[in-house]
Amino acid sequence: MKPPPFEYHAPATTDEAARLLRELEDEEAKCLAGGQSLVPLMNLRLARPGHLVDLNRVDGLNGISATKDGWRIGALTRHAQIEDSAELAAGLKLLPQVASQIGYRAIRTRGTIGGALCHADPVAEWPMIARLLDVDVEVVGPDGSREIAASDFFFTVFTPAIEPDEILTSIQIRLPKGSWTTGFSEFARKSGDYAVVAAGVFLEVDRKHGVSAARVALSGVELTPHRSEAAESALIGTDPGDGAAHERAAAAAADAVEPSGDLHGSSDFRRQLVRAELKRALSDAASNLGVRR
Amino acid sequence: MTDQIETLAPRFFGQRVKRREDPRFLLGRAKYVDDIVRPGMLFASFVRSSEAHARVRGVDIADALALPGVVDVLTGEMIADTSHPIRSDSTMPTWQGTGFPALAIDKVRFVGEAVACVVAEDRYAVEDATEAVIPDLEPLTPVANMDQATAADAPLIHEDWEDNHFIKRHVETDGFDEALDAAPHRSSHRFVMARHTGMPLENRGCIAEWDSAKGELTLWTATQIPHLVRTGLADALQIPENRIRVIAPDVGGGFGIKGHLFPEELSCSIMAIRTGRPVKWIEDRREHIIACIHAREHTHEVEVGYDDDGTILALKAHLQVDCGAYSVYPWTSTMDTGMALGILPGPYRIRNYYVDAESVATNKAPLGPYRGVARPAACFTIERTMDAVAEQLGLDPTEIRRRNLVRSDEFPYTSVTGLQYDSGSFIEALDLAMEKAGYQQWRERQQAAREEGRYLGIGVTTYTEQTAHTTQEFKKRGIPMVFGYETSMLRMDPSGQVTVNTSIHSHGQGLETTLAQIAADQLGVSLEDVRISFGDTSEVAYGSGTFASRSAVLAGGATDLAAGEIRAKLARIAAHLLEAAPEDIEFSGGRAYVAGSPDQGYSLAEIARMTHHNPQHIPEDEAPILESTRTYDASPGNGTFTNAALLLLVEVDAETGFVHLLDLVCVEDCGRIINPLIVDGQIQGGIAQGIGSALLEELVYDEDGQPLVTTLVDYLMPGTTDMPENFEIHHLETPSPFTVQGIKGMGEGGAIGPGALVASAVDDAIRPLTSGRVTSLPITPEKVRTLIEQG
Repeated sequence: MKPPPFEYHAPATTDEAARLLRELEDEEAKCLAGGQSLVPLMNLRLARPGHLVDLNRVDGLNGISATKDGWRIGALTRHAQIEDSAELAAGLKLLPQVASQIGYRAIRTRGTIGGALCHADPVAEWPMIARLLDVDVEVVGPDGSREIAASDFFFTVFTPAIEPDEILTSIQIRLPKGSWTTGFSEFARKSGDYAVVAAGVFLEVDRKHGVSAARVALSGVELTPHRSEAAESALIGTDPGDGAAHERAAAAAADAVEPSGDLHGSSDFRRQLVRAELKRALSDAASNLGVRR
Repeated sequence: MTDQIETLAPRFFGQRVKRREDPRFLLGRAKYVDDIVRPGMLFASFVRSSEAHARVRGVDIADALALPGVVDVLTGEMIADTSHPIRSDSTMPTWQGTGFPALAIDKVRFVGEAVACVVAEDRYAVEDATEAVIPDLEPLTPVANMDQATAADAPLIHEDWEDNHFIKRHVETDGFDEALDAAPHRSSHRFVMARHTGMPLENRGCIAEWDSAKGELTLWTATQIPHLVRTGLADALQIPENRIRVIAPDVGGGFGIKGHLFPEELSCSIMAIRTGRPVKWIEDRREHIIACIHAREHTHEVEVGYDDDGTILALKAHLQVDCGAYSVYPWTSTMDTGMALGILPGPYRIRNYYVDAESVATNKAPLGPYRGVARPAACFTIERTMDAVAEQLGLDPTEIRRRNLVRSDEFPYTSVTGLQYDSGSFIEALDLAMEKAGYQQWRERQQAAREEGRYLGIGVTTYTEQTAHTTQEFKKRGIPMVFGYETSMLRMDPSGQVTVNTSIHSHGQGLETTLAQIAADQLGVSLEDVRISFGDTSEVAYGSGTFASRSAVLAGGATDLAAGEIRAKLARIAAHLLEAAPEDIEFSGGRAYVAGSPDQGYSLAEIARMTHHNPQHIPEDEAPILESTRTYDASPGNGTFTNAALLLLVEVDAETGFVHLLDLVCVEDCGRIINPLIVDGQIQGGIAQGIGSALLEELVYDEDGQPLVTTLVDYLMPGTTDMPENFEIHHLETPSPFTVQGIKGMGEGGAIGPGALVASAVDDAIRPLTSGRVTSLPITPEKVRTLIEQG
């Protein structure tokens, strides 16, 4: 349970960090954020980076701020900061709600949202939420910064579409102008444990016509977070509080996925969980409607 | 005057005294093996087999030896001629035994078996070097489970054996077939309990140090059984026992798992002798999960015969236990089988019994004792059977139990397997649990919930727990060592302070408190005046250690007897000084005085100082020290039987199969209670572990004998938030007629019932949805969903 030898670097700026990453490109450098996944993997010798570039001393990577159309969350923002954020509780309750489900409090005080996105674990919460909210991921490399859409960010399991010399600096959440609501539900074998399946929903609601736009995201069903078009189209035009419509959307989502099974759930069981958890997420969204913005 | 004496002499026995050891543990001031640093200490790490079953063609250590900081590398071949393997043999017929080598020699027999030991200057260097050792393993056909092991053409795990059985046992009462044939109803069931293990916060670990000048070995090790480890080491290394000192410092949980001599302890000792430097090994969690002791993994097939009233007339059972690759020291691979065979009829009046029991060898980590030893599986089987019979007859599950439980007027009751249940309150405990739970209200809640489409279920379990078994019982088990007595040596020093050195070990059981309560009561001193010391073989002549729910009874008994002897001596000395008769001397408030005249006496400190420093004042025939060593073997030695009844209310989420534990009521009777606070804590901890077995924990192997669960990501442990929302414990106190103070053991009990209990409750919850019933543990959400889907 000790890692193989590596060299440790602690840059003070993103530019310096990006330069280091470029210099060390051939020597398997890895960024260290909260270290809640990377360090155990190194101790198990499943990850063997030659260099660790610690981002914890880099200025400007941490923080939650409101933008003109949503939120900017710094990559190094800890799960616990999101969980405890009064601004988010009032403005986008989904995020504190989701943060509170990640691991245990001790993990949440270290783990970061940027680290979780880059780790790209298919059962983790933040990648699924990134897909749900269609966030833009801002990365900085030696040649400057660029934004990557969440739909392009998750390449495959544990593999984000980010270059080896790029650093994730923030995520941008852009919210629609009209009325909307969110819902979330996850199934874990015990509290604090990894989710087996989780479902998130984001519904734009028109007082006259019900759901005018729907986004449904699922974790634990594919190698990357899954957007369920089947469920999304089933929800359009329905009343957000209509249980039968929830049932139909959940069934459509379950029918459309082919999860692979593992120790924590077979393919069939995961499909059943998609159905149950999506229904609960939709019910959560209905109960959140009008409660907050 | 009597009142005044009462206040001077508080009785600690029976009081909720706070645990004296807790400040040390809670403030992080305990000192575990890993906290010990010796001068020049090296670090050990093990190269472990990646194959379940393979021939060892060789081990290439050249690259590892060349790495910086590496001091030595050891392979099985290098020590084959100089050290004996660990060997633990049963004396029973049909036994096939085998040694467990420190490092694999000709074959590896499970994934995780140690193949080589590396020592280096630090922990990083040794882990780097461990990767550089290349074992050359020629894979053989793995025997991954009991079906494969018992197939006609199964490969032999131990090539000198006739088949893959450590032992096959058979017990049958006279006229069994007739009794079963005569039963108006019969039903057959198959129950499976998964492999899991104890997961102490502190993994295993040891430091071996060799004093070449004196030829003496010291081993600090996280063990429950220091003296037995010393004997095992002496036998394997051929070093006399008086040249070996085993020290078990603070131990961060044992649960039976740390009640063994391990190959790693042997390797570290050999390495300390080879290198002349202290060698530390600290197990990591992955090693603990794949290469330590595993537990459970029983398959039970039963056929039960019963009458119209639900009276059980006959029980036939076929018990198989997957014991893994090696027989463990000192228990042998007969423990689980023998215990299950003996206790399967449980607290019920079953007089016709037929059982076949097999300990099967497989290419998996060795099976050993873990809190409850076999009884969780036995309880699961008999309780599931009771539930099935109740359902077939349309009886309430509490009623079928009441009709079959041994009644209070039948004690002492000799079970069909010859166990003598000393005393108990089987039916009274069930009645009290129902009363405390409000059983009828629970049924009403269940009915109301069903009408809302919610699925509440009520589970019931009763059991009896054999505890504090000693000479007679272990003699019967055919283990080469008979774990009878424990030893306490009590000394009063010149300042009048008391030290108890005892052969048991305390690693969470609160024995530093309970033993002090007993000694303080005998001597009329305060708890602060009593120091309890254990875990060092140089302090006490001999004893077995802590296991089998016996330390409070046996070390408590030994402490009581030794303290009584010191008290008698103090009384003789005080009587001499006071010119009174010894029988007129009373003790309280740290003083000895003439009965009725508290002013006419001496403090114990005065007497102690006089005894040691002015022996001219004490009687001529008294030695001028205050010391007594006593052993205690709770005769007749069959054990004391604690009993409990548990009721549980759950809600099953029919869509996900998740089981929510709502209310749990436990009524436990462990005889007279020394410290109710500690007893409650033991019950809570045991139930928590039992809930882990019931719902979460499973060590899964694939068909090739590869462990699929290797970290705590996949091995799910229960936490506080996974406990029932409401959790009540109540006590009955039926004293044991056989023990000092009428106390019984109780340390394991909590872990016995939950598997059966949760199964009973889940079945009751999903009854409207399915005819399927829970037959295996753990009860995963997916299993519950599968039952619901089958309808």
